[in-house]
Amino acid sequence: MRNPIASLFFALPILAQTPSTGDALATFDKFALNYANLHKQIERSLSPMKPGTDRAKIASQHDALVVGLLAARKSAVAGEIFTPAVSTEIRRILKEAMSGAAATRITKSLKRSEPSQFKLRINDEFPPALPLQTMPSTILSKLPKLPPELDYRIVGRSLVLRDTKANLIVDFLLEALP
Amino acid sequence: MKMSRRTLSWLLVAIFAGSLAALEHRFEWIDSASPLLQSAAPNVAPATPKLELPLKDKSLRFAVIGDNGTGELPQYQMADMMAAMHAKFPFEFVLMLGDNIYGSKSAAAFKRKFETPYKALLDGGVKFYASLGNHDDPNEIFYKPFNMGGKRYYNFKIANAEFFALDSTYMDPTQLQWIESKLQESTATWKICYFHHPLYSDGKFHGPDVDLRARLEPVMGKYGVKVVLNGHEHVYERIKPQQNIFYWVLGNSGELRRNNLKPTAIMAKGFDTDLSFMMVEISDNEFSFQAISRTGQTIDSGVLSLTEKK
Repeated sequence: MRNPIASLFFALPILAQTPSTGDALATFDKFALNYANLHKQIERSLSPMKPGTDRAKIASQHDALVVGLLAARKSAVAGEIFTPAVSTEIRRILKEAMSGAAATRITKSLKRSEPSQFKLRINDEFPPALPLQTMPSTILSKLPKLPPELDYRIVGRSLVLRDTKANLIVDFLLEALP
Repeated sequence: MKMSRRTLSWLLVAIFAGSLAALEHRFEWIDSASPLLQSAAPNVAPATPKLELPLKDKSLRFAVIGDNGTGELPQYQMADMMAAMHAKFPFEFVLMLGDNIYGSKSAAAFKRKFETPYKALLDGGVKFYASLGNHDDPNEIFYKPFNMGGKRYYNFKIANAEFFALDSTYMDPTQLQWIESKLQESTATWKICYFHHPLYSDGKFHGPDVDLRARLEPVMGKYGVKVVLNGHEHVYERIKPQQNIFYWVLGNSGELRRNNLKPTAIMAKGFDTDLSFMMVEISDNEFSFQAISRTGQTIDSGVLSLTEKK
């Protein structure tokens, strides 16, 4: 009879592979929605960002949102949304997108959209001085839909989840592109 | 003799223009091979050019700029030329094709890169409608003078033209569905899309976004978009109609990438030796345009006509 602890040890890799594609993506959706709810909750406690002529006021509203999010997520680490199961699924989606009929045009678009590279860290600001690399539309059509508080960005070969208003790095997946 | 900073700068442009004239032979092979690329060194003095637009009664008049927000002297000189042309051709509004504010996004930067150079136009009641470029802060959507209403993409209709500002850095399915439904609803004679990244371009630095083209052009073609205006490449280029759509690249209203065009069969007109902006007049079925350089040279002009289906 197999030792129960050993059984558990051997079971672990199996457990890690257990979530189906649907489960992994549902988990991702749930985590992304949780983040969006947190964002909205913090935003509601601040004066709303509305179109105005006072650029300094817009900047201070942005800063207040950043402070609120950083306080709420000070212990956040990479991989909280891109969990191992989600990461596997996202990498699979990207690999498929970039090896199909659209592969050549996606690669061209990525090369032509001023790619930039910098060290990724959770809760860092996405460098405002760097141009924002275009996300190929075909890739966006394959990836799971995000709430408006988040978007996907590519940095080098990594996929970043960015808070669109706060411009913060929420999570990232290294070596996401094949 | 005392000389203002601006006079001095124009003098420097003039001297530079002289140097460029000496280099004009460099373009001869292009000019003789193809009349499409206009080498045109800047003229000596800024002079407002002859208006080639019809100035019809009750026509819709607007201007187009792209990649303008540098805060540097050339942007100011281009803005001066726009103000001078506004006196001759009172355009109601200006479309901005992205990269509205380069570098710092502070309140002072917005003043230096937008409010001050276009003060004469803003004071004259000219409205600006921006789209986002890859150098823009996404929160520019909240800056009221850009008239984006807090949205990455939006539309507005004036007279018989409807304008659709898109965010080409992030063409997700939600935005694609939005543009499709808005184009489908639109009853405007002229449906005009404007966004930062060109679907066609002979610019050597970037080139066209072919993935965006594959996703967006079928939608625009299906619902009768006639004109598409893009920036990003720091040159002026009018493209021959593609899929029944007239495309422009106008990304040199503040930044210039000199000698960056490599003409191919798609180019109808190119200009890559100075800054430019474009004025447009729409009257019924006619779309008249005139593109003008920083020094007041007309670099391109013409009329697009819609043929009635019988």
